[in-house]
Amino acid sequence: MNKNKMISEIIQSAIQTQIPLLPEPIDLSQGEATQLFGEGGVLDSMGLVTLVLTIEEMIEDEMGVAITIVSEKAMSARRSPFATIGSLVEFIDSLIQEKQHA
Amino acid sequence: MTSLETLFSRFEAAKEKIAIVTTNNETTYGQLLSEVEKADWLLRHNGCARTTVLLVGDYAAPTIAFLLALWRLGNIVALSCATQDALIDERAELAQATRVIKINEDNQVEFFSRDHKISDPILSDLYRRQEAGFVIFSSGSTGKPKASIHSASAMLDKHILPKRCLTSISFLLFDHIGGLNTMFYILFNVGKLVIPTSRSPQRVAQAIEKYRVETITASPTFLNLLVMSDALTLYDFKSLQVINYGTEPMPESLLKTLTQKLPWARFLQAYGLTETGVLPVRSVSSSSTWLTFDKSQCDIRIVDGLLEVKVKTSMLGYINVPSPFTQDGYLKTGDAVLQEGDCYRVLGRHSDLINVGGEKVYPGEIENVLRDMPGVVEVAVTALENPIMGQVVGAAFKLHVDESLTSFRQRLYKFCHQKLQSSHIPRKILITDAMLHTTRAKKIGANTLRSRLIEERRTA
Repeated sequence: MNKNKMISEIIQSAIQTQIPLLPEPIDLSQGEATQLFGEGGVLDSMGLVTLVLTIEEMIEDEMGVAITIVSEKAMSARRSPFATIGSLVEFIDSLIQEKQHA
Repeated sequence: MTSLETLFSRFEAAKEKIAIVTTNNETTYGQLLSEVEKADWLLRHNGCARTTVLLVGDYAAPTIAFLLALWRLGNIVALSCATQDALIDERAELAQATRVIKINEDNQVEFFSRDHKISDPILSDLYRRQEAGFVIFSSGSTGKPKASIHSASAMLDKHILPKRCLTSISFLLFDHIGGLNTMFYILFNVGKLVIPTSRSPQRVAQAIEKYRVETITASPTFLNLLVMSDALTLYDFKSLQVINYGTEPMPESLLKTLTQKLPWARFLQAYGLTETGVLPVRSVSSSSTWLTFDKSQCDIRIVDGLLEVKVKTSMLGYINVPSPFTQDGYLKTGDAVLQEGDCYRVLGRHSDLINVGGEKVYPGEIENVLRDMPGVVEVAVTALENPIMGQVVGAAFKLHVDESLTSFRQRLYKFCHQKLQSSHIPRKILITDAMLHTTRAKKIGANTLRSRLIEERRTA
């Protein structure tokens, strides 16, 4: 499977697991354009925390790479990596590449 | 008459009564008295008078006899149930002990000399006043144990007033302030001390049934294990009249379960620290975790939500560690408490408080809810550092049946949704087969739990 597609699926299934906690049902039909955090996003801060922790776990389990998603890099990025599923996929992919080339 | 002489005269008057019961042995008060004389002779022979001695042993007639004989000779006795050489060395050094007396499982007694110099001012002061004392080791938060010095008479004097004579199991250990307190309650009232072969729920339950035990002092964690192991239904607990619980906060849900399963027993909370001794408290009722303090025997105050205590049974101080007492003699317990009129409820150690983006919660409040989730055997909660919220709640679970993390996580979130506020819901979850309590049946410490949550991940 394409790596980005795999990351995207991990993110979506991480979102699925916290559906019971979300104030309203989340619509994933827009795929990578689904807005996550911030303007128009579906997650509150605790939702973001959970999503990040769950994704980190799943990436480690399924792809064998241990990454830390929230870092200075994430905070200082010009465009928040947590805006949409698409931006998060891109950001996670860059973290995995860094890890693999380190 | 000193309190120790009073104790011996009560033994003398109850010579035929059974004092200590083990699986294959019974010791009467008369026999215990002659054990004391035997110990006395050996101690004099080995020059153990007015010095500091590390006594290594567990509940057994000879160990108890040695403790009493050592006190009669004006010694300060450091207590250790741990028998590993490295721990014995560490504790002997910390207590500045000049002698180590080791009583092994076959009741063989060994003497060792140590060349530690007694330099601590509190120890020196006790010798000058020819007062006996004891030393209890507590695990310091940094991992290095602390040695607290107590006066023996403060422990003995509080038990002089006669109370009910009962058959009892002390689940707490011989080197624990609560264990020692229970033991002297029994001895002063010439009751019967039952020593189970091990501290497993089955063995303890067996002993309760076999010896018609009337009172037990245990930790909530152990009582939870009793429930979980089905021991309450497999064994006869009808003899139990009083169940004292302490050493950690009691989850309300567990207390409810216990009062339903053992409706004939009274549940009383015991509260105290190694540093304060067991405090004079009384539970409001069997089903309540609120308690009152007997203010004729202790002074208490709450400063910034934390309890401070001034009481006679307090330690004299730590060996070679600065005094933790306030200028006016109060000890800061570090325990957060709620107050309503004359009633108090202990929430937990302030250092265990979890702060999620400013929302504060004690692990016990969350564990209380999670314990009721179907399939959960044990749960332990702690704070985990988090770059977004400062801290988040991490929880480790032991389950009845194997379940994948993903499925459990979904079930957990559904369960928590209406019961816990969002910041209190565990966001880092571990399912583990390993125990979440120590060998002393106390919940594992926050630091251990934290590293397990980070390192011990099990993928399903």
